[in-house]
Amino acid sequence: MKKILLTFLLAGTLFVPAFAQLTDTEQAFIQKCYDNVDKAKKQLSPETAKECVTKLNDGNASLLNKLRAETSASGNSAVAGDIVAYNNALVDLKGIIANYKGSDLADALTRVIEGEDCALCDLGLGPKPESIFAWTGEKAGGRLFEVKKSVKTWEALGEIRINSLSRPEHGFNKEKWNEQAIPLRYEKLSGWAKKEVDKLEAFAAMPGKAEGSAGYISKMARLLWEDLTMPGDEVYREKLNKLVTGAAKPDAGAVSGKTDKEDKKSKEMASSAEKAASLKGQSTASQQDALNKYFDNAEAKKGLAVTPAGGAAAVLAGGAAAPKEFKPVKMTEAQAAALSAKMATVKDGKMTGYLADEIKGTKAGNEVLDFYNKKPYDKTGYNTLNLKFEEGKGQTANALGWWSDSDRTTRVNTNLVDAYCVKNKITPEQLLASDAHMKGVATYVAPNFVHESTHQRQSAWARANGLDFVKYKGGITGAPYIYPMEKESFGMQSAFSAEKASKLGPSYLASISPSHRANAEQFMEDGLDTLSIEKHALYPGVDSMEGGAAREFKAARDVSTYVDALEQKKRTDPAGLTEKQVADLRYYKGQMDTKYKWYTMNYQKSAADEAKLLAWRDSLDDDGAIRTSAPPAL
Amino acid sequence: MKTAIFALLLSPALLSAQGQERNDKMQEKSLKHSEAPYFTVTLPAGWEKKDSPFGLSAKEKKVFGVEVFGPAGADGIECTISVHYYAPGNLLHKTMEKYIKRHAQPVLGANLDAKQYAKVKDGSVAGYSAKLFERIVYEYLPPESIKQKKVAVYEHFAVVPAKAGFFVLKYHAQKEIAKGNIKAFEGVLGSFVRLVK
Repeated sequence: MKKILLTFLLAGTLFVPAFAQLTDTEQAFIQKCYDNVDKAKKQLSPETAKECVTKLNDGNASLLNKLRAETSASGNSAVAGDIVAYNNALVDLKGIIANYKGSDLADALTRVIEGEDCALCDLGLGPKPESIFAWTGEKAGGRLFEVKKSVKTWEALGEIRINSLSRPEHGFNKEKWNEQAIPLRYEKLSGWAKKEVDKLEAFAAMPGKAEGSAGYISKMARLLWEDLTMPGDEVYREKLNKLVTGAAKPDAGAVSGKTDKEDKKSKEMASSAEKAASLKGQSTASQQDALNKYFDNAEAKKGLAVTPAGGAAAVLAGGAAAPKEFKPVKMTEAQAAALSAKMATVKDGKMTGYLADEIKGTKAGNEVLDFYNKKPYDKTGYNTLNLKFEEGKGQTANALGWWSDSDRTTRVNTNLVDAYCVKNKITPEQLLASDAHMKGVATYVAPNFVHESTHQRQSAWARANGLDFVKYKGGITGAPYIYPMEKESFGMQSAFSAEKASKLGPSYLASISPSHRANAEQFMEDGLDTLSIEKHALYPGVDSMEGGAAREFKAARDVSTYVDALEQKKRTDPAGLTEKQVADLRYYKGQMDTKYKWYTMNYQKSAADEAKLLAWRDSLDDDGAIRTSAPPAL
Repeated sequence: MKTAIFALLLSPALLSAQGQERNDKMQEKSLKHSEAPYFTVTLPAGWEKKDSPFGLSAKEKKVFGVEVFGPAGADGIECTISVHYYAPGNLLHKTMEKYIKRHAQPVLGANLDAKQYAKVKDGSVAGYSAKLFERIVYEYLPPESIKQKKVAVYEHFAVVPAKAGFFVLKYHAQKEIAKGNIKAFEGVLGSFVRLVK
């Protein structure tokens, strides 16, 4: 068995004894994976990294397990951890750069190069965004300009901004500007743009302007619009709109012509900034709660915008106003409690109620029912159904519902129910007394209930498998929050809606929100890939599987090194180990075992979840011929 | 090809080529891509490969291919071209007929937002017989907004059968720039070489 030379990742050179359990081919492959993330060797290939991550996890992670056993026995467990952390980090970075753009890209890069436990930073990629340019140019050349634009690097700001920001009143130059973190660059540009809007307004008000001033105003307005991305900037955007409209020239509509595109950018960035700001300093569990709320908020908003006339959400948007004589009555807390009990409760070990009736008979719904009906997570105590209809306020004002890991409760917003009552011209009291209306509410909220219940099941799964190693205040534990959890939840709710549609037809599709309908359509057409990539942009602070692995193993690097030192001492001088060191060795080895278990189980679960959902999907339609008649229209 | 498949593309608005930003480091020459042992194609100059997300691997799904994206429309929707081989037993679309059925008509049976579907026609791609169809569907932007804009997206599909499995060559573009970038897709179609018979 030949010896393998491993260059220690960040310092010096390490000779590692032959790995007795590895074949020559396996050893060569491990060497390749290690060399790939050796900063000194300057490879950092995302393709090699992907190959390493995939092969290490193939076949129930058999190669990774062998590597762990070998490196642990020889006191070199940090080697395995480095291979996992840094190759995953490269896969994650390439995926981010290849799949996202604009503010979504900026958010994702902020997460992986400016966040805590930055594995990429150990490879020289971060925390400054400019440090990834050379790598991007080499590994994803076509995306370099997009990356530069998204992180607002000095040279990509453009001449107008650079000239202005260089003036004494702003005092920036390239170095000073690029010293700032990505979110701060967006913030500074917003502040600058607001001042420039005021100047532009003053200019527009001047009498006797030169010919062509309307064109100038329009051009500047378009440019400034891009930078008004922070919460509260809407006022200034409105000013720009008025300025351009007031210019009344052929190009006067230039800004409004760009409104939708730039409005998207603005809202995404503002939303991201709000999210980032509100999540700062919160525990992971709190962040998860908040992010769940954000998702559902987005769903609610979508529903508001495009639900066909007559839909419940259209009422919220004012699209189906109630008759003048009808005075809406808000649901009281007591009525909300009564509604919760009628919608879903567990009696004699079985979930019952309108929601139970709505979801049963579907594959996803049956799994949810099984979960609450004590199978298979009863021992965890995490499968108790706590459903609460509650008025959303602040961040949750427009949310359909949200799952809170901290108190293990699924909440549904009573604002939705109020809207349903307005649409149907009934009071909450009448709703509670009407079987038909209770069914209608259940139909509307069921996809979200499936989504949030899936999150609860994930918590129970982590608990049951001992993967809840993240500890929070109040004795709460949980597994790291990673995006595959959302992918599964979206998959479950989409599969649920698709199956209901396949059974009930167009009338069902008209009774759910357009975003739920769109998710189901996307799922049926192309599986989970596109759905997954698009939805991840709604969760800028949440790592992918690879990103989460990189962060966790980077965070555990010191632990690995300490365990290695203790293992070596145990071999060379066992009598010299103190009692505390013996206890530490056991404890920290256990920690690392749990972390690897979390990694490999999640990797496998992610693939298994997708395989299951795709199989469900395949059962929802047949191979029959294309219809020759026009599709049904409502 | 051109004459038969662009019934949905005859709007004058399609002549617009706005939003065609070019990246400074985009490759200037087209790139031959080999997805051996399934197919080869030549990818258009300046278009960038997209990465597949985590989850099941291509090998596990038994779907192999490449996707590139190019210029974006005014609403930020990028043109994409993808070429995939769906091997027998793949997890996404068991048969060619199923793939066509899922994309050439409303997949859930109801067309609530007036999508447009052209008839599936017989045609050819690089000398191989193929089923061709196109459609106009909609995306709602921005995703987190009360006020959403319904944006039309043009898609063209060429489905090429093989003795085992089938191939799909797909073009996706915001409607107003669809025609302006269709040549890139035509180049891919023309360069397609089927390695699986």
